[in-house]
Amino acid sequence: MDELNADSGELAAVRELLSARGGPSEEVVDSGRARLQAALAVPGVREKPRKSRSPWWAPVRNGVIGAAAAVALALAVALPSDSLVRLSPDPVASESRATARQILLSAADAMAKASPDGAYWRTSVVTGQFILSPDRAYVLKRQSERQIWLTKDGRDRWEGQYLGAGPADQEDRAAWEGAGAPERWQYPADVRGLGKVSPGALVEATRGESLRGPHRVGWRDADGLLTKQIVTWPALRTIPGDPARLRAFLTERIAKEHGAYIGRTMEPLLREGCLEIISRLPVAPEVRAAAYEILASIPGMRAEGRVTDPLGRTGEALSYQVVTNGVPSDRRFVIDTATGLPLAEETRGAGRTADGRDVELGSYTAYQNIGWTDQGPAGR
Amino acid sequence: MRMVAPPDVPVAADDAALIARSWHDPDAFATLYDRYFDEIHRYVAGRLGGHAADDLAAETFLVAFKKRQAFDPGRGAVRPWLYGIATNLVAQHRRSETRRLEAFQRSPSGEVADSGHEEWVTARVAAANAQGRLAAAIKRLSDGDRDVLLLVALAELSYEEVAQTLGIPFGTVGSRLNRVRKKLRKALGGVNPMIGGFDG
Repeated sequence: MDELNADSGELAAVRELLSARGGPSEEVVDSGRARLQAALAVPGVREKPRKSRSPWWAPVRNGVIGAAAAVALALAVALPSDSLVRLSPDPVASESRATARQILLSAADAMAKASPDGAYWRTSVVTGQFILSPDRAYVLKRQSERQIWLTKDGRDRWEGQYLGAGPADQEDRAAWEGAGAPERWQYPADVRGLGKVSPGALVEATRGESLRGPHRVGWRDADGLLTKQIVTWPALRTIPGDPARLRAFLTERIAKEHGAYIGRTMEPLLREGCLEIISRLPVAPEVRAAAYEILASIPGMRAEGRVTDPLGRTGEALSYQVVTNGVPSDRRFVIDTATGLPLAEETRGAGRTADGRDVELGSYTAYQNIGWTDQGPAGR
Repeated sequence: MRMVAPPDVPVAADDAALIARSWHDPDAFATLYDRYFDEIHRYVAGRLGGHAADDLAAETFLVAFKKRQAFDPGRGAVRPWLYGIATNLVAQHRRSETRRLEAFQRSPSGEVADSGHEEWVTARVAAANAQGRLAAAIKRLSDGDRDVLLLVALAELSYEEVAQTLGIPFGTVGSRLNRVRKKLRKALGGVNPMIGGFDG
């Protein structure tokens, strides 16, 4: 029977007004299928059927935490042994290596058990860069560390120290000694090809003194999707702790920030938003666990196995690519699967010395502490 | 117009069988994706625009997969079940839908303001205004009424499928749609927005 009979002019008008022109693009169809296939691949989903008394059309709210728990157990026996690398992926492939998705889901599960509150939200990070020396003879590594304590009464504190700079490895050390072992490096105005260093910067070998003071900008760092917009405690509490709703929340913010048409760049932006939540925002453990679950649903992260992070700690590495202004760069995210905490985010790029040696340049942020604590700053 | 397949024909049985198989063999679920992704995308795109649909159409299948053990073939076919999930996801984006309808209220008349022939312009403006009024009327509908309207108009579901999708009685679908049509007809005021002229 055809209920939409001859007098359906209104329905045709509605269709004419609202119907999208053309169907989904091939990329959209492929990306959606990849997301589904990632979900199909989780071992925990192979369960026995059971009867449910909930309405059959009700949407799923709480994702796959249960499956993640099963995966966490599997991970404990399935991980390949350590291998030492600096900024390179583990060259030894292992058949039993956990997939990116399994790692992220087990991190979500571990994260959900983190301390939900404390007197301070503390983040301790070490940032580092691998840059070419101004004469392009060798690679320099320079590092700084910074700790921030945020309190709900707004009396935030920071401490920080420049950790110094020097040749990155043995080969660089030899070249550095050959150049007269300089202790200061004056960079030119044009730093293209040298790595992440400011034009005209003066880089010094000597460690700086320890500095501290009131922290006045909250957790803002002005370039993050969320850190740019969400800068108060009440606003932070509006971030949903449920994967589906968090996804919608982030999607809406991304659209607001980047304009109505996002298309294929939505997933990379969604990934950045999730990494921001996991690494930087003082939010409840379930929000960060939900961010891990969303990450697990986005294709493009590849498990690299166990690696050593820039601070010498062992964790599971996931690699992915980021395109900034049309230029792709390789990123690596290292996770401590026991706590679900991120250990480091690394960006890698290629460089070449004046004598034609191919070297790795890049930068990293290594996390020493992220989370709630009752332990305050010294000298307070 | 798409007809509803009675529950015993192969296509419908096949969908439900795929879900049952996917309990043990999750890969079987991918076939449902290939079968229904395009139309779910079209439906969500009609309600929230193309780019939201890119995300939510994919999300629909993820939710369906996670929820597959709760699918009860005794209560309806797979296709309306998928539309039900998509409609629930759309419901989490009511504000986007409202904004989209508001944009339709503004833009059509603006587009035709500097056109040529006066006669043609008059007809186009009338149509554009009618489209704006139509968008306003759709916006004013209750959520339940709007769901019924758009499942019929955009997804081209039958009354039976709409009833299964929304979990409401068959008769309610008909009465809601009659009420909605009356409102839309009134909003259009006799102007057919499709051809830009005046009705009969």
